[in-house]
Amino acid sequence: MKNLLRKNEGRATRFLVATTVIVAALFIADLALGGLLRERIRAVMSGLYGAASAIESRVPLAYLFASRTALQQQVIQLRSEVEMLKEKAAAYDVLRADDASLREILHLASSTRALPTENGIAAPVTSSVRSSPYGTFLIGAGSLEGVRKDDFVVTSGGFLIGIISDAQAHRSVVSEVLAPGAHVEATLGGASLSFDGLGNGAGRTTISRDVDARMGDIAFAPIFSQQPIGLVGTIATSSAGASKEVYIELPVNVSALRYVYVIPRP
Amino acid sequence: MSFLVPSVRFLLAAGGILATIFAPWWLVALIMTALSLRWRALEVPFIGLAEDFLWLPSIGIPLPLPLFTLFGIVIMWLCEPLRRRLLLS
Repeated sequence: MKNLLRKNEGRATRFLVATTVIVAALFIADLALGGLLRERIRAVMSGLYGAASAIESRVPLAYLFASRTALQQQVIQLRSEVEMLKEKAAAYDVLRADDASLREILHLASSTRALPTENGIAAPVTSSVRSSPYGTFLIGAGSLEGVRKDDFVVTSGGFLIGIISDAQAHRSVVSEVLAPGAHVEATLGGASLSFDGLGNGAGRTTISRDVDARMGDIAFAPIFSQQPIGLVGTIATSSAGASKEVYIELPVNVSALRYVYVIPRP
Repeated sequence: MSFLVPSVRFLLAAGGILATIFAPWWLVALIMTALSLRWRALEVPFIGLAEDFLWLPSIGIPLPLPLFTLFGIVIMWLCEPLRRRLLLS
């Protein structure tokens, strides 16, 4: 009985060792091949995500949840209108500060290709933004469309969302500037501050009560060529404390973005 | 009901792979933990590897460690003696 148990344990250990070795070998092989394996996996994943998105948009489930769907659509539409207005207002402030003309928002057709535009390369978002534990997402434009590593990824209003982390042939990985755990130096109302990333385009910092920060103020990141990285959305103060917490956020819902613009890093 | 057990494991593993694409990362971690606790789930490190292959950037975070692959390997090894002790499989 003991021998049988020991034999089983030995077999189990061999399985675990073999699995560990195979996984490590795959990871090392991918590094050695310059990310070939991950490129293939990302291609399959983008395809699956695109198919799921297409199905979701074409199957209304109207008969099952008619009133709920209608209400949901209305809420989504109203929210997107609010976000669009907020972003337009913020974009106007940014550009007035830069003494530049207002950027026009390009109405993209339901194309899934990357398009060169006046604002940069317009690239479709081809993955979920909330799934990544590393604050990354995928876009459908790569080195063959002119995307390079370290390029900026911005909204149509010019707010910096992230940086190109890996540029493959027709696909790139974007690392969010305000990814969870990231720290970004930025200026807000003339004060230099360090923001902690919270993910989904949000960040937080603690400042002295004396520093003037108002809702709607724009934070600029000097290390990213003074690009705007967010608007002050919430200011939390306690009557007893000597400091206040300032939360910034992008004027668009990152999870709902369908297109982003890639501009070369100056 | 024992004929259902392999199906549950298969569904969980398939759900884990799909969760790497569609669901938040904590759900993937939860599925990996559940699989490892109940079975000698050799697929768990592969799910972690898939998560890292999909999302791990080369820049932007202080140290681009393949956290999910490491988590998968560690939890697979950790749960083996635990499961043996609790006679779960």
